[in-house]
Amino acid sequence: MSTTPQAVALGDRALPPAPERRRLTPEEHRALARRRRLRRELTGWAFLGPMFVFFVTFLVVPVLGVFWWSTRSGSLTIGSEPVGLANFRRMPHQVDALTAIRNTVQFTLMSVPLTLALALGVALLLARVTRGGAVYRFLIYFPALVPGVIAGLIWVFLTNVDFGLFNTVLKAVGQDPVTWLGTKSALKVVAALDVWRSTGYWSIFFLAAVIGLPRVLYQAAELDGASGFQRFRLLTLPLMRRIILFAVVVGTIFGLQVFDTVLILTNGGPGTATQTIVLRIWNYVFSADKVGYGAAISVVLLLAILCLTLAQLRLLRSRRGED
Amino acid sequence: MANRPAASAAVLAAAEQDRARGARRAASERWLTHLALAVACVLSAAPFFYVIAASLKDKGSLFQYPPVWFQWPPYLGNYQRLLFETGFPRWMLNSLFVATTVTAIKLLLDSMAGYALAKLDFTGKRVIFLLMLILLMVPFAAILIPLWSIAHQLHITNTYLALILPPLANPFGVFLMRQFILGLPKDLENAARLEGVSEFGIYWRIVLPLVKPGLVVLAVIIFTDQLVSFVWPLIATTDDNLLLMTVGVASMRAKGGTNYGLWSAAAIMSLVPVVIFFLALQRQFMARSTSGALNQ
Amino acid sequence: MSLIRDRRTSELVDAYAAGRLSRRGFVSRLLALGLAPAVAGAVLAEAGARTASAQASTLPKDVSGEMRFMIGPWTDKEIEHQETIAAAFNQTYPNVKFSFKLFSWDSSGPEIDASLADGSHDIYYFGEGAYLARAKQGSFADLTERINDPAWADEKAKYLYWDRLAAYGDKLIGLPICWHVEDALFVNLDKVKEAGHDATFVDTWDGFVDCVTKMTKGDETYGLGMGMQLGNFAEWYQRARSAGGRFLTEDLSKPAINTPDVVTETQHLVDFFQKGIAPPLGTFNYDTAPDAFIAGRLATYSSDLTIAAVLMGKPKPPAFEWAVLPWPPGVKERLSFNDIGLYGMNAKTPNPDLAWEVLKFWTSGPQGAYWTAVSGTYPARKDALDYGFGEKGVKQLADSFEQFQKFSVGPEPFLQWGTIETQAGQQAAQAYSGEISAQDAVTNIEQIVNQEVFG
Repeated sequence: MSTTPQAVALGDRALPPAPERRRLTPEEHRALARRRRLRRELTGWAFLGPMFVFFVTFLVVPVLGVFWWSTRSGSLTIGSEPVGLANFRRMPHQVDALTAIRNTVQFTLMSVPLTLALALGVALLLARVTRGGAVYRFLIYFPALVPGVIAGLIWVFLTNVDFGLFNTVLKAVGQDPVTWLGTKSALKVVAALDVWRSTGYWSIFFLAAVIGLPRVLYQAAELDGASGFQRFRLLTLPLMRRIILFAVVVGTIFGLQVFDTVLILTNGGPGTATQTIVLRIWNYVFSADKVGYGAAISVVLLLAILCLTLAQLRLLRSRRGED
Repeated sequence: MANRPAASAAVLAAAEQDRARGARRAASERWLTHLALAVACVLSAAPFFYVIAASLKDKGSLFQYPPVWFQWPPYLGNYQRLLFETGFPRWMLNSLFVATTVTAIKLLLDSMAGYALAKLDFTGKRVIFLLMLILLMVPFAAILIPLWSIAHQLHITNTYLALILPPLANPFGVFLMRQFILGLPKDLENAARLEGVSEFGIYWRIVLPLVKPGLVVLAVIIFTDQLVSFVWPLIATTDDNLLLMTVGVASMRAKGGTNYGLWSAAAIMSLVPVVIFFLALQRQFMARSTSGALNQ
Repeated sequence: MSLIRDRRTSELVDAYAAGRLSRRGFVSRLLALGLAPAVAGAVLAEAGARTASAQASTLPKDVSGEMRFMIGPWTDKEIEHQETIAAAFNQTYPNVKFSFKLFSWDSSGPEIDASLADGSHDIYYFGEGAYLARAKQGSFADLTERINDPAWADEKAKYLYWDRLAAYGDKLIGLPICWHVEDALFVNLDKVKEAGHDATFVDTWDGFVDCVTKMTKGDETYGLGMGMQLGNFAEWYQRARSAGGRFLTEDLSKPAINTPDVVTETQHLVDFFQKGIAPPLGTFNYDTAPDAFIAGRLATYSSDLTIAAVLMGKPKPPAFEWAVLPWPPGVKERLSFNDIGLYGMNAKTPNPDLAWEVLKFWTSGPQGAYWTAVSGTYPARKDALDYGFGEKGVKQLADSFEQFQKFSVGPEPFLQWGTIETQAGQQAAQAYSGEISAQDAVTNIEQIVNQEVFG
């Protein structure tokens, strides 16, 4: 998080030595400290600055725009007017307001743990192979590369009631065919599609971390007779904690924003069975006169995710060691 | 073990057996690993079989009863039509240009910012880190309208800039780089500082080579995200010459009678450059630079 | 004798006639030239006549320019069809160039908005559902004067549905090219015959229910497929209108949807699902239903008109006799919901006169008949049948053209109609799958109307 005192001390010593040894007056000391601080500030901002400019222009300002829109009625094209907090007040009265929230949470709980567990497993396997690794990595990453519209069509085929792959398998083992995109199972299918598309993504991400694990420790553990599972539990998990927590936080956030796969496969249906929060926002973003209402939902979602993340960060900090 | 051999011979034999068992176990473990990975590959890539098959049929009869799994001889007309009668080659070039440019710029900016957040000390660092973390969660659908207004006011809509600049704002890469850089051992950079290497020198010559796997992952992720990004390109540019592959392919989905064959051919063709990009990065991937540095 | 004598006056008249000068600017310039108000008025009248004749007649044959279209793909050969029309146009005006960009239907609204703002295209296709919002926003060129020009009155009279567009306000922003029945019945007549009925089974509700019930064979063949529309325009709205319901009263002052008749009609639809006549929601969808219909899995199914073109374009089109028919009468009356498709032009187009000429040509009798026939939709012109609409397109469509026209009803003219229709369809689907009762669905829909319009 912050540079340790030791590092600062080392940095000081790295400065060129003064031409002759003499005692600095307190003023000179302060001036030197000021200059050093200024230098530190400038260096920090020089590194952060370029990205920060874009961050502010194309993310911070638009988000402020969302807050602004959340207090207005109308749309960009036909004009808008301020309505105070009316957009927020009508929210609880919205028909099926809870359905979207429930679906989103259920989806996240189904897809995120499964995706990350599978991805970690695949990454550990991938790290062990030397031969054919390139082919495996590519094929496993494959679904992430397929544009959403195409992925959606593939799943329409997989879930086809009459000759889709899923029902063909069911029939082969003597089960009754299932209406996969029906009211009862559509959300699960959407979650499965998401697992299919994201596992490769996250496993490549984990793989980079696994490759970086110090091999010496593993060799030592093996010499001590630690089993594979013990090595995983006592070495891999703790060493990768930071990356895994990052993945959990970001994965959860992505999960709560689920939208495009739903849009493609079921468009929220049947009925409201796969209606999600962001899908609801999407339906208002281009509406003729309710852009502000979509913005208000966004603001609430934003605040909810903010609380969630702060809680997760706190958890992360309390468990963290020295850094 | 029926008869009891001499003690020393027993020890030797046991050791021999252990070694043999160890080798057998290693072999069977390797075999199991490959099997598990093969299963994972089939699960992830096999569904794409439908698309390949459909792209080789002369009428896109994806849902026909009874299903025609494969047409023989395969029909190549869809590919011919795609390449010579639609704007596909141009869409693809645009997509590649934009994705490559964004990836290159973003790798540089994000790793610099990640370095600043991980290793440098300056006012506002914690606040900015938190702000980035919070804004990482903004659903894109929510900011679409304000973002478009800003781009329009900056007069960049309908130019390549509209496709390249806004993605640079995404803080995901900064986080990723920060996480990777935080994981680096401090000894190397401290040593460099003692030797009077400038801050940029440390970043460029020491940190960047060490986080190479992280950079490769980031490159893959950014490139993929750009290539499949759809919603923003839809409204950022409307000029025919600036059309991206995803938007072009989506517009081929006709109200009545989508030509699944043509559409599937587009899906296959859109993967070709990605495959090349991905395979080109493979070599970088396995460079065990981090552990190498530690072992020295 | 003409009042327009000197060069300066005639230059002003030309500028006014070409649309470079507003009426107000024209008059004030005339007055600035020192003309007496009465004389200026007379010049204005004469210039008006000249403008009208300039519009009725056409552009010089050597006019050049580029017309950039942004349109939706009705078939996968959309651009070919457009280029055919463009080639016909080029026979009169050889120096005009054309380009066609396709939007995707799911995102046509934002794509058109962005293009209008950027001035990227000159001519757009858009649906009636967006008409009101588009008329309000002002980025489409106002065509009212051109359309209501007396010199064009004869032509104007050949278009259908001006009265419907008038309900959206005084401003006209497009020329109708087609009208599209959103919920037509695709009927396997062989199976209808097996069930002891003929094509008139849709003329009464009881006959309809009897026929689809008899055609249902377990989960082998479903009598009636519904709930498979792409996005919105689900069947429920049309049935609610047939039961005398509307989202809003005629004067748009309050909801008028929660009536016993609408609930009864909704229950009728729910019954189809509960009795297994309609396949459970999610069994088939917009992409898979046509093949299921061809394979006999669906004896009838409800979808939009263009499915007719889809069926004929299949590798194996239906081997049985089939028809496109309107839904049967509802509790109150027999109605068939449709929406108009229009061409409009960007207010920013550098070439408004040429664009207007193009709009007229594209929607003219012969071109309209050609395009609608090959796209699987109905022409918005009375004279389209004279130009061979029936011969070029799918026969089944032409056969029921008049029947659909008779029962035609469009969306209600208020801004939130589209958003409400989408949500209403979701509520109805909830009732179909037994999650909520028909009454609950209708009550929810009324609440949605309240919150979207008055909330």
